[in-house]
Amino acid sequence: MKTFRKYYFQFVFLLIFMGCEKPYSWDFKPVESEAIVVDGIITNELKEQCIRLSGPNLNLNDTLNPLSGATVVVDDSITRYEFIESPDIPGSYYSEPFQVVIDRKYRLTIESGDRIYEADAEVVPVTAIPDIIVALDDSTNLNRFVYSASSQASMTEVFYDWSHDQAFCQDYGFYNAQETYYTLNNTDVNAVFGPNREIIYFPHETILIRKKYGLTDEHQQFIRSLLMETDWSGGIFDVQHGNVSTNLSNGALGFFAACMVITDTTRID
Amino acid sequence: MVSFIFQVRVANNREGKIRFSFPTITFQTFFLILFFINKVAVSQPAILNRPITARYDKVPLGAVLEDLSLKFGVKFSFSPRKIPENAPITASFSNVSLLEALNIILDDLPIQYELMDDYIILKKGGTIKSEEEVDMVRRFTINGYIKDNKTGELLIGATIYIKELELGTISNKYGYFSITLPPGRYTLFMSYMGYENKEYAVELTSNMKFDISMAQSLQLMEEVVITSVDKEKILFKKVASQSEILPESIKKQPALLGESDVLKTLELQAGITFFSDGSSYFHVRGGHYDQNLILLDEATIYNPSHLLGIFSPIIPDAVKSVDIYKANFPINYGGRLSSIIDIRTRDGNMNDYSFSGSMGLISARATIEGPIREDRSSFFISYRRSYFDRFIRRLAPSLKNLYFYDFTSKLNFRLGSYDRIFITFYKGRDIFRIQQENEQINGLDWGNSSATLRWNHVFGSRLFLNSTLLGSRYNYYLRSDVTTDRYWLSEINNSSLKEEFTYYIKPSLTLRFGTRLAFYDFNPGNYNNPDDPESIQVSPVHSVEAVFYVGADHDLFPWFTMHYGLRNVGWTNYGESFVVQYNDAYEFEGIEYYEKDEKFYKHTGIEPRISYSLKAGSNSFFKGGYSRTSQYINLISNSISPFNSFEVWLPAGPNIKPQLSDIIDFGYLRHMPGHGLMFEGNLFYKWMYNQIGYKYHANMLVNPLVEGEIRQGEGRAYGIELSLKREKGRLQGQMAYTFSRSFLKIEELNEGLTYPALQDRPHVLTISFAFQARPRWLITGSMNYASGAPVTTPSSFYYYRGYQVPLFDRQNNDRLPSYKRIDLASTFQLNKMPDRFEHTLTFAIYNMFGQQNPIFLYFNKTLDDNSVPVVPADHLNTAEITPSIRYTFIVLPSITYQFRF
Repeated sequence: MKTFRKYYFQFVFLLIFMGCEKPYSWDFKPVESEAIVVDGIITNELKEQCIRLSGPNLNLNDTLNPLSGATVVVDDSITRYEFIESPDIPGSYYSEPFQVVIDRKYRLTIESGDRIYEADAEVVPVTAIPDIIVALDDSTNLNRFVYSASSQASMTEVFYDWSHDQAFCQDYGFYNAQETYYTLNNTDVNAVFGPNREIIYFPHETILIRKKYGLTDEHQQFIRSLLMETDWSGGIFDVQHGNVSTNLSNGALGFFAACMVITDTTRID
Repeated sequence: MVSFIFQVRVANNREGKIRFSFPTITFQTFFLILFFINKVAVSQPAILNRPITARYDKVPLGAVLEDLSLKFGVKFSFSPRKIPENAPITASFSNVSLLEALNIILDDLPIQYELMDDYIILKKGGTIKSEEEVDMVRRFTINGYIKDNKTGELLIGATIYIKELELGTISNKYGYFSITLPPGRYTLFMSYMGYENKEYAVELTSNMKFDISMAQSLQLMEEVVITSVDKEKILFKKVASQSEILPESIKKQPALLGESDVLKTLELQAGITFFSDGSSYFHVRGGHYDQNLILLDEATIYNPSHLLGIFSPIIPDAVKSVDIYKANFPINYGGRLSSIIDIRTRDGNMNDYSFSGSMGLISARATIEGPIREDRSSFFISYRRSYFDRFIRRLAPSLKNLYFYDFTSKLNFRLGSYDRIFITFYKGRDIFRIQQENEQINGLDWGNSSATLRWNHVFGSRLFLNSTLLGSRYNYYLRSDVTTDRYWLSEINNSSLKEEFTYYIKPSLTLRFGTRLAFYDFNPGNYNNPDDPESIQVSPVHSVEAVFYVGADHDLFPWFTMHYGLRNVGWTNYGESFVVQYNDAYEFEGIEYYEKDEKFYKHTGIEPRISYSLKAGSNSFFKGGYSRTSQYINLISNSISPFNSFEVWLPAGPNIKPQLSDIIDFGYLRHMPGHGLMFEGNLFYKWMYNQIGYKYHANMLVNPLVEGEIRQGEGRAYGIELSLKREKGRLQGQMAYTFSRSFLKIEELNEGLTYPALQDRPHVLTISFAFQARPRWLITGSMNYASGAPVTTPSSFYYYRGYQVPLFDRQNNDRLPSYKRIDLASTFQLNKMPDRFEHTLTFAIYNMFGQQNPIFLYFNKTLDDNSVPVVPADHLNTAEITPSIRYTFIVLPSITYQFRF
């Protein structure tokens, strides 16, 4: 009886608090969209800045649908930066090297077909990256990155390069990976009780490059909206779905931002 | 001299933050009026038949009446503007009754009189001369309480029927009845479901106080012992869209994990749909779940859930009656658009002690009741606590606490024939604590509590007063650190005073009037940081609601009855508060600060209500009505989850318009007594205004600008409900089918186009049965089918920095798979009947075919190495996304032991 009770409660507990989740074949009802998607963050790094343009896909997991032939310009009222589409990577538009600075407003103008899309961006400072923390999983002898929340609204991209470990590359399928962490000023129920996220484990000697972006309020709101439909969706406190916000005009999707970034690189022993 | 000063002090619950008290409210005048009515309404009907001898010679009418009044102690009531006080009266009579004397005195005057208790009311009109006409105006009242003969429990909705006149009435929510008739010999016939009928012969020559005790039927299943005539009377009096659930049927229904659940039983009613498995949210006739008012002995239960909604907080043993109104609310009820669920608790056994309880796999409950002073006062105490935390802690040591409990108690005092006092206290709570890796303990706890003091008083024999003073509280804590007392708290406190009068003018006319004054304190979710205890992120709001109503239940013809009335609701918000101002684009414009007690928002609404019942033949009725309702309290949440989360309550105010609805309905009801069948069909159409929606990805938690996230628009719902019940024989049951639609149109959402509301479930079918297989073996079951809930699915996808982002074309453009569930239970009575000690064992299977009913559809996950859906982390090597669903509660068997002695 005792054993029965133990297993019964285990069963009930799992049902109630985790529920059951399983893959499900769903017939989406696709609707054509003529919107363009802008993925553009220009930074204070002196480099060829990149803005990617694409279009929506009707089906889940379709490959990126690059948008070619657009005219892309960023203007800070002093200098006009033209972005030219890369012949190797369709939909990716690169500028001559430049870097953004604080106290300047950047305006993106995209001309595609007979439509013009615009967005403005400003730059806020970014605070230092906290010391890196990794945790070792004893059973696999692999590490995982532990994110420390920042004191400011920020986005931290973590790049993993484990190309030195061929066995791991083969096992994972790729020689590198990248994940993104955020510190936002809002508290959301679906974030607090969000769904399980995949954990990226990495072998010793992996090189970690952390890139931290300072976020304006508008950028932060965009990210919050993005996460509501991606990382935070799928828990037991989901909220009403809706289109992710944007700062682009004329029905364009995505976001244009100008960010201060700081970067550090660490090799994990 | 009676004087009573009633003080209300309301304090914001954030100790040390805003604290204020309302201005002292003096109800002296009100109570003096009550005292006065009480003094003058002492019944002395015999005086009316005393012989009178008198002689008047040109004496003014006023003086004649004064003389009669002085000599015989009768009281005359008239308007001097309508009655000629100076008219000279010349009359002489010897040994005649007062009524005959009045006929002589008023012979040539255009004056009519009417007897009302010990008053004689003079009105303009023709005189009445014949004996028959005298009898027409002479009326006596039979009034009293109807109760269970063993327990003294007052019986709600019992029928009192006068066979000779084919007239009747029904006992009210406090077991009280009053019926006024001409003098004569009558047979009083009493009936109540599950009780033996009772008959009394009475000779009515004066007012009678008549408390009636009825004996329970000994049959195990509640056979319908009500006669067809009485049933017809009940059905005739019943308003459209009203139904009730018997406590016995709640306990018999197969329940999740064996936990009988009062609210979950509602899903068997036509027009009521539960959100999903594991949810205590339900939708009534296309309304949102916050549009249901759940009352426990008149106090509001704001969050009717345990374990996020898996169970509801009402202990079934404590329930005496459950009345459901889906429209045509009684005139004394309001405040929500879609339904009133009026739950009354048991009064407690006045004659004997009894103890009952149950043990299931999740919780145990115990109830004790008995007399404090036999036949004068009683108590009732019921307690339930879950105990699965003991086992779960072994599985997950970091789980420090996970349990819920409910405590219901009631005291009941009979203070003479005319007064009763009921005191109810309820408290229910969920506690969840978990220890984090850093030893910090955090968790959740939420609960409702309420206290109700009710005083029933009968003035004379026809005026019934229910006076209620109540307080209720709901709070929800999200504790980020239990040790240092850091938490987020959302709270609503309510205290109110209600005075409800029922005046039984005559069997065909009952007048209802009254008032309600309610004070509310809202804390819409603030974070408490002990280092900065004064900080407030979202302004508290304080409100007062004043309601006045008057209505009547009027039998215009023996075949046509109407219920009509008007409610006036006034809502006021006052400081100390700060109100955020927004422009037309919902952008922040400024903040206005209001000092303590400073009023900053007022709204008044009139709610007309009218409903009718028309006898269309033997046991057939047409019913219908129109009603307007308003709602000033809103549950603010953009969640699409069936589980309770961190909702906050906010009142109407400068940024939130009150919700309103107009509903018309039309129904047909047919009773087939020979087969014990009852068919009911209802059509309804509901217009809803100022319905609440939310900006996409609204920021609801700890947001000072939360009101700016709200968008309001219009809603409409319509549908048809059909049900067939069998209430007779070994096989009883019910089948209910509902077709209904519910739509919203909010200018700023879905491009301003109409879209299906979250509660839009076109087809709902429920079947339930109870089969008495053997005298001690009962089999019950139920089947539920509902169209899937609306869901918003992407119309396309786009890539942004490694994310596959969904793009939506329309809100709620799709639907989850339909919901199906079959439950079965078998109850064995272990004792041989009848026995002082009764005990039963129930085996139940919830969702016996293991139907996987989705509650969520996700389209943002990839499968991990174990094929478990997870959110992908790698944004460089984009993973393949697989749609997934989440469901709960596949086959769940349970066993429950219940006892009573």
